[in-house]
Formats: sequence, C-alpha cells, structure tokens
Amino acid sequence: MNTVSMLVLADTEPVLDGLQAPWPISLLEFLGLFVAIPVAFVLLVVLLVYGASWTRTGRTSADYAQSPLWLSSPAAQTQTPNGPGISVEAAKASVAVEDKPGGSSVRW
Amino acid sequence: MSVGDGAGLSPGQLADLERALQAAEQQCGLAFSLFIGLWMDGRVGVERMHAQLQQPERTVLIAVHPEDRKLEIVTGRLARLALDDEACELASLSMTTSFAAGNLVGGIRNGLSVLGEQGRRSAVQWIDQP
Repeated sequence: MNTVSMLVLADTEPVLDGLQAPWPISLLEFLGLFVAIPVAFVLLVVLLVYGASWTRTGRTSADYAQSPLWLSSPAAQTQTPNGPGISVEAAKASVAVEDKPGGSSVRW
Repeated sequence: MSVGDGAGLSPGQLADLERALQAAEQQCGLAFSLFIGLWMDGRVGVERMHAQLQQPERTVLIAVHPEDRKLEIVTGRLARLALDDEACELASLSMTTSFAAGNLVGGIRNGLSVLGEQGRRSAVQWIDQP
C-alpha cells in the first residue's frame, strides 16, 4: 500500500485514534442521528409524563354517570353478627342528638 | 371494599383510597364511605344514599362528582357528635383545594385525613371533659 492509497483511505473511512467506526457514516447520517436521538428521548419522556399524570390534569377517561365508584371502610361494611349466644339489648343512650344528618356541601 | 369498575382510577389509586378510608376509621372510630359518581337531587340525593348504608348513624359519606365539581359530606346522627359541620367544612376546603389542581385522589386522601384527625380530637375532648 503506497502513500497515496493510504491518504485516500484516510479520507473515505473515519478512523478515530486507531478505532474504526462500525460503518462509514456520512455527514447527513451523523446530523440525522444527532437530531433524532434527543428528539426521541424527549418524546419518550413526554409520553411517560403524560401517561403517569393523566388523572391529575383532569383528563379523566371515566364516565362517572355510567360507572360510579363506592368505597367503604371496614366498619361500614360490617353488620351485627347473628351468631350463637344470648342477645342482650343495651340501655338506650340518652344523649340529645339532632335527627338531621350533618356535613357540608361545596362546589369547587 | 370497592364496588364499581374503578371510575377510571388505577388499582394503585384505589388501594390508596382504601388505605385512607381504613386509616380514618382507625383514627376516630367512625365508618367512612366514599362515592364517586353522579347523583340526583343534590344534597337530598346524597342523604338518601347515606340512609341506605348499613350503619348510617355512625357513617360519614363523602360523595364527589368530578365533572359537576360537587362535593358533599354527610355525617350520620352519631357521627355528627364527633364530626361537627365545621370539621366537615374544614375537610371540604382541604379536598377542594386539591380538586381544583386536578388531584382527585390526593384531595380525597387529604380530606379523609382531616376528618379522621378531627374525629379523634373530638373523642379525646370527650374523654378529657367528664
């Protein structure tokens, strides 16, 4: 291999400190990758964030009219057991309480 | 225990809410129920739902309609002794602040925390005041 052919090789094939690139890459390909990799990464992050926060931003897909949700704490689900034993009626409490239910009503 | 298909909430969010309900119950000894959905007749409709619960007298029902932006808290006759209307309004304020920011689950969790804490304080006050 003479000097001229070595110079031609050096011009056409990228050589980095003795390491050869896996394939010859043109300037256009390099620019394409340079732009595409960050763009793909940003798109991935946006998709992940959007997917994780879709309920927090009001984009609920739920149709609450069609599928309401009921959740109860354990005490709200239990009934007085009808097991064996003697049933003794407790003394009536004499605490004066209002019959009307309380609570609050708010719109936001 | 949940009834319904989850109203668009993820299993993790449902588990979160169930934990919050249990924690509130353990804190103050009252029973809590949560309804997310549409109801008719405004406040009266929620009171009707509350009356159909298994132990309405000691149950606190929280009803939320995210689309209409309505929140109702109904306390039973005995539950009202531990959680007065002011405590419910305080919890409502905490909840609607989060709702306005679009955080439905967090708002309910905060509200339940406030209700549990207020109910516990009332119980302690009763013990302290013979």
